[in-house]
Amino acid sequence: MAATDSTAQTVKELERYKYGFETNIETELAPKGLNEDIIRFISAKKEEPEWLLEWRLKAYRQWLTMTEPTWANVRYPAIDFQDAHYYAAPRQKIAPKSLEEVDPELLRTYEKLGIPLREQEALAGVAVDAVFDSVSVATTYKKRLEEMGVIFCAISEAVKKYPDLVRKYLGSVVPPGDNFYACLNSAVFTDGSFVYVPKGLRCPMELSTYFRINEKNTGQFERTLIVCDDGAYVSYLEGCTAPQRDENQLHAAVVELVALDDAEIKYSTVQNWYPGDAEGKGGIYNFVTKRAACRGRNSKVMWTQVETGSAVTWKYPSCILQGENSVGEFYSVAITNNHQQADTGTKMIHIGKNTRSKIISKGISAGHSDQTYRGLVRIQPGADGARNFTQCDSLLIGDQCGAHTVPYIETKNPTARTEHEATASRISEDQLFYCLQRGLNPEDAVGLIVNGFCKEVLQTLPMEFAVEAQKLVAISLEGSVG
Amino acid sequence: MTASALSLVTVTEAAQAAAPLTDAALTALRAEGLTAFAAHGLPTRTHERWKYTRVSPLAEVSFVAAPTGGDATAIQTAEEQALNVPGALRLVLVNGRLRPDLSDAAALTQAGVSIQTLSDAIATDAAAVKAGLGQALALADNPFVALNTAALSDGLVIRVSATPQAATPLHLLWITDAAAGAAVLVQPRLLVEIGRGAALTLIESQVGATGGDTGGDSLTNRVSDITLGDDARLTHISLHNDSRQARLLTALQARIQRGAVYDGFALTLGGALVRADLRVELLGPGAEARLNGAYAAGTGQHVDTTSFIDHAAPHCTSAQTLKGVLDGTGRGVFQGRVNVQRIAQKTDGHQLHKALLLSRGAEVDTKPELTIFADDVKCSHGAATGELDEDALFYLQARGLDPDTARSLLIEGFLDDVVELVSDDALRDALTAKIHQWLESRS
Repeated sequence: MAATDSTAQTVKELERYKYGFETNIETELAPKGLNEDIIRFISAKKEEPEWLLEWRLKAYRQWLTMTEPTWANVRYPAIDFQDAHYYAAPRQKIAPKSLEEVDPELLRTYEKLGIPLREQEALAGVAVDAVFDSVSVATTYKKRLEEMGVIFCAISEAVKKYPDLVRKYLGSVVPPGDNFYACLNSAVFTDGSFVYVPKGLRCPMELSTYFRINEKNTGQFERTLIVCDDGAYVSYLEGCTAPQRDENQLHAAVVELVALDDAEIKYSTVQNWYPGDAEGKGGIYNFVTKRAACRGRNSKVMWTQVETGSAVTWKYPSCILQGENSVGEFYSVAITNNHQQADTGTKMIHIGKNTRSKIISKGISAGHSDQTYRGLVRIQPGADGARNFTQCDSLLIGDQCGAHTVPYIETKNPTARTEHEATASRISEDQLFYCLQRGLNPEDAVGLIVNGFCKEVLQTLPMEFAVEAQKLVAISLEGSVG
Repeated sequence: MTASALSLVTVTEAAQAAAPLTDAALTALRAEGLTAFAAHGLPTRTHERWKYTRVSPLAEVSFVAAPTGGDATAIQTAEEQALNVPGALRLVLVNGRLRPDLSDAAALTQAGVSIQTLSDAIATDAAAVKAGLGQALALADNPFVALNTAALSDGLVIRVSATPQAATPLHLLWITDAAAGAAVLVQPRLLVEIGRGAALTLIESQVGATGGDTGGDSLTNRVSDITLGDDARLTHISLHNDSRQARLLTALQARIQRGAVYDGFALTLGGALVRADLRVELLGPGAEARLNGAYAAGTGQHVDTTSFIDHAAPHCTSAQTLKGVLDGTGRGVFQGRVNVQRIAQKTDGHQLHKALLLSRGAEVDTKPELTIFADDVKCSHGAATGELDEDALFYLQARGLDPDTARSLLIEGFLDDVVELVSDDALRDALTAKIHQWLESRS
């Protein structure tokens, strides 16, 4: 292929949200709407024990008394919670026991998304749990992980197989009544991953979940629970896509991480839900509650997120630093273009002595988008010697976008040190000129500069994701220069 | 409505009745203020801007109208608490009312400077007073501005026009004279209008008639409306050094036109509760605002600075550096917002807050905020908290200083840094002297 052709094709590919296709697969749907019967239906479909159903119903009743939060700097039409299906599952004859039994149409979907499950199993590397609408369709590498004692499966499966573990930790970090969307999730969550890494084990491969919303008028409410026992380590990746649609879809997930003594959890997200079209029509509402409890001494949790998709994002991955010497880190790149809105950041709650936290947030706003960093650093009276460092940088591309920084810093201990820095500016003319002078076209130059701007965060991603993330950064900014 | 609002409303209504206004528009504005306050009552912590400052204890206090006050000993004690700026012309206001008998006569006769009490100014030209009242702190969202507006009658109007010779600095001595046993409510309003190309140095000292730790309960709810015409300049130094029982709520709204410079510095040392609401609007290209300050809060003190700087025109500059020292159970709050409107390209906006925590029980809550809608801007903010540097303390002690002196020296150095931003020597010395006094009183 001639160079010009291939360039033309690349451009064409880039122009569209390339994950916007829809898989034609027979789906089993719960009736539209939300009531106690629907929750009973979901619970029955998942063959859940009585206690979990009660847990859901209790959450639902509490949710009915709550109101939607309005403090975030995002605007969207009111969501009709009755106008969605709360359960959607690809119809499969029997629950697949291995990849061979999975519907080939589903496997093809994941291949199109760049996650060939079959290949993944053949090649060494990453264990994947693929979640399609409301159910987990396949988990690779299960056997090998099981041999080592790592539990990695769909949460519905874990409820059946490891009820004690699930019961002990579910809702212990994000209680059902935590906030409006977490409460809704607690009532209607359908699938998600469960990870347990036993004492002293360093999980030898990356664990990964791939979330896909396919069905129309559905919401995805997955719940992820990761427990790292004493001295264990795990690196977990999460990816997300959805078809291109005119109406908005709701994604309200809850992620809970528990790190015990000397444990370390690395949680990376590349969020690329459908962001809506250039006029701001359609796209996913991404209202997610993610929180980690560093319960043990010397425990460590590291959140890395690359947020490029979704029409509206509302997400604050947090760390509760309870254990002495525990460490929380948050690295974020958020890119908004066209009419996207993102209100994202983190919370670091220092409770234990000598706890440390680090926040690096890079926001890039382009087009008509609006982006807010909202963060909280709280030093409790007992957190002697606590340390926090926060850096938030915003880059504005074009004069129609907005970039906002809203940090809260509360210190109640004199021996603690906190530092916060934030800047906002546009791409430097000098850098741009330098790149153009060396023959780069403006779009590539901006891509390069922006990648440099985010480098500190991107390099914390596992290699497989870092490459994807770098490409995403460039793609997300398509059409914003010129 | 809470009981608190009731007491505040009753006293305000009595103030309205005692000083009726002939002007219909201002009478209506007063009524509007009272309605707005009564409708919302005292702000609670669910109000984002009052998240860190509780005013609900005001509910427990039954306020009375402020007496005339101001006998000779009271004035003398108050003077000791105030800034000492030798060259400035002094105007004394006791419980919000101008006392010409205690003020420098020359202050009232300066060329180019017109000074009137608020009630005189209303009688002369009510429409001009109304035009000078800021709209930036909307009555519905600012209960205390609403309450002050409802009480409109005490206070001062200062208008400056350009003259060949610069005006002599003015020093406003706001004295709270509260007899023991009664909680007084003082609600003065200050209007400052600096005309095109004119300049003024305005010094304000908020002090108590009984000084330091004694004195009755009081609430001063003061609002200042400042207008700077094209290329005007206002150097504005304020000291908040009221007695330990005093509560001070100040709101300042400033409109700054093309090329004008507002250079503000506030030092807060005394008072149980000191809250400063600053709202600055940069309205023309080249306008500049500096909102610097320092504060110290010990046991039983709460100091809150909440600012909003609105860049509404291109090529404007704003800078804010605030430093605080928290001792005992003292609490410091800084909520600063810099807003850059879409039109405000080439904005330069910087903000910095640093706090030093000297003891367990002290607390500082910071929320610097940037909201930016234009792309060609340079904006930044920084915030840091921590204790005294152990290494520096060791260094000084190794050189023979006792621990207390070493600590005082370091605290002084920490605050001096920001006082340095005041360019006028006499003013800087006056501020440094007050900081010294405070340091000595604590050791």
